[in-house]
Amino acid sequence: MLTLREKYYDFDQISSKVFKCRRDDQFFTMKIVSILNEENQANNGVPYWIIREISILKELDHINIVRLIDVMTDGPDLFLVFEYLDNEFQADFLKNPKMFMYPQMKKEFLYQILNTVAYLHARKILLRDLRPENILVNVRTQVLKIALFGAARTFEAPLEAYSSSVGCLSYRSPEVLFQFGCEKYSTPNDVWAVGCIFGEMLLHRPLFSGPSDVELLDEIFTLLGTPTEETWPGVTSICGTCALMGPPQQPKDLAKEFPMLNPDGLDLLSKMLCLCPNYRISAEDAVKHPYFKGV
Amino acid sequence: MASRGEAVVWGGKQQKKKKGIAVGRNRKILGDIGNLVNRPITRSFSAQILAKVQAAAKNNKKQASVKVKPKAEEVIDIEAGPDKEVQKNKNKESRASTSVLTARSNAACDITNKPREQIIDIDASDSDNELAAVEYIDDICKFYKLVENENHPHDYIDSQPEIDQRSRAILVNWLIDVHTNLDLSLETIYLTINIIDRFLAVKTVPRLEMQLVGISAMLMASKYEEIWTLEVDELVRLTDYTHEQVLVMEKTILNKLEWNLTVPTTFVFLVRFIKASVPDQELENMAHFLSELGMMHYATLKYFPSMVAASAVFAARCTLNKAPLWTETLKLHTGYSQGQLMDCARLLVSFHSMAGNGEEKVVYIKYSDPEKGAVAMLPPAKNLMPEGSDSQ
Repeated sequence: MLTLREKYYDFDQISSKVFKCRRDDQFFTMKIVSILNEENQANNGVPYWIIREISILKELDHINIVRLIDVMTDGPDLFLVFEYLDNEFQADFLKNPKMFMYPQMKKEFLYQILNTVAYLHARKILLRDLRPENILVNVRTQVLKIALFGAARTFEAPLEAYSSSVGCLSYRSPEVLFQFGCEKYSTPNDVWAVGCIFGEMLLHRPLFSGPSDVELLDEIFTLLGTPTEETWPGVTSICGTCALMGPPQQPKDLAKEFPMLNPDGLDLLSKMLCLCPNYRISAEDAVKHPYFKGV
Repeated sequence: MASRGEAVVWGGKQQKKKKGIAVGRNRKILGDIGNLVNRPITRSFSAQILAKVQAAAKNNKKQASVKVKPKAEEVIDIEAGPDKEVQKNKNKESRASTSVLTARSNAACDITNKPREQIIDIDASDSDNELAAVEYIDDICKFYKLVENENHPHDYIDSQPEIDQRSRAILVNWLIDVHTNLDLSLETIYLTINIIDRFLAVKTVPRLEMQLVGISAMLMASKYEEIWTLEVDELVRLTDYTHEQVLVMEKTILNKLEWNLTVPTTFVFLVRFIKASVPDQELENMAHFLSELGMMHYATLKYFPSMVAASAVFAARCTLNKAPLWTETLKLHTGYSQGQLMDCARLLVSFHSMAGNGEEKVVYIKYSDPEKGAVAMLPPAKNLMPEGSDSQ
């Protein structure tokens, strides 16, 4: 078996753990991941998230997902070889000022995100940590790529209990916020995150940014109204105590909050940010929404 | 015009059409004879027909995009009334009028084909449950069926100088015991065995390292499937291997398998096929019992995971004398007919008949527990047993 140096050469450091390298006439990005813990020990072998990330990425072949080409081991280090994305690909895509120049571009990128999420869900993969920092875009070619699958995992239907301490707080769905500890959640959780990203694209700021679960829930209910048994059957049994929900609030008029959106856009946003996960639109249906006519 | 064998709706009531003959409704005398057209096909009438056909096609397209559950047969409502059916012209009708009349008399004597069995929408009850992932579950199963051969281990026993079917069975038996005692999920044990078989198919392993491969595979599977993953020490305690040996073996297996753990195991299909069987608890337990027996035995590896899962459900239905033994719903969801499953189902039933006898009894003991309905103690399916063999 070829060693790392025999297989790849012309290493060029991009950051502390990321290198640009070459094999034949092709460039690749190499990410070095240590399997050692904080105490510099590999007590439990390869961390579970690395096993999940790599085995999931190995199976995927989609234009909007950063492709994993190769995995090599050397002592306590793993070398993940990804497709090379040139400098035109900017990470944390919402921080790119060019993103907001054309409304059509936002729609195009939103479509690509939803299309990717639908692809993953159809392969029984929950993304669980979708946020702008994990999304790279090339504004010139209008191609978007989702990277970093540390919190992704496969699911069986019906879904089992999964850890709820997952994903960036701002993009966590109400059902995950309600369930402290290990509870069940599913594909709608990813759709909620896309809805938050959609809102952020429009407002140029995070849609919800509460520093804690309870404050974040309060922000969500301020915009979308407090859920009731009518709008979210079983909500009282999920949250355990209604104290979590604070005083009842009426939903705001999204048309006033998002004046830049046409009726189709408002309809899609409201369906993606539906409080009840059972009623939330699926990624598969979202890509077929009239809002994307002409994309 | 409804084609042969399709159902035709008259006044909202579904009737069965048997080979071009409308059955079970009042008609004018000789009103159904093949060459008789009840209404001349004028231009305006043919335009009406065309409009209806186009509307139906458009409607079908719309339905397809919404992923409507497939029905046993398409029902086409032509027009509410027997007089408005447009019959095929005599020269296009292959049946002679004699056979038409014979079929009529059969119908009058009630000698007709039974209506085709209705296909059940097995996800209807879950439409409001996001945890069931209803929108995606069919796609997932189709995708897994498509790729199951890619990660299916080939026949490897002959290329392993120190390992035979018996030593594999001993290892699997022990691992199922460990799995049960550690209270791990079923996904984990199925993935563990899948990892072991794929590894043994690409790497020669000394007999003394078999157990090391087993616990390392279980460690990896638990990291992939469980919320709280196993600790190496929990597994080392059960064996004579060192902590370091397990970590080295884990990396060896991962590299050999090229880190591919996202694979369809029998369990993935089994859960879906059990649901398609509209089961009671006993049937569910029996299917799991037979599937786990299959996992124990090397001989099962010659079948793809989806076939083992479907055969486990079929054999369970045979064992419990469910009628019918195989349904249209199961055929639709598994993609297998009853005939295609016979060999594998017979194999699983033969394992059931021997389950209480050998030394590898963990699965038998597990499913003899009243909590599991003591299904292991039920007699094996007679109709799948070889002639003249005794059960247990």
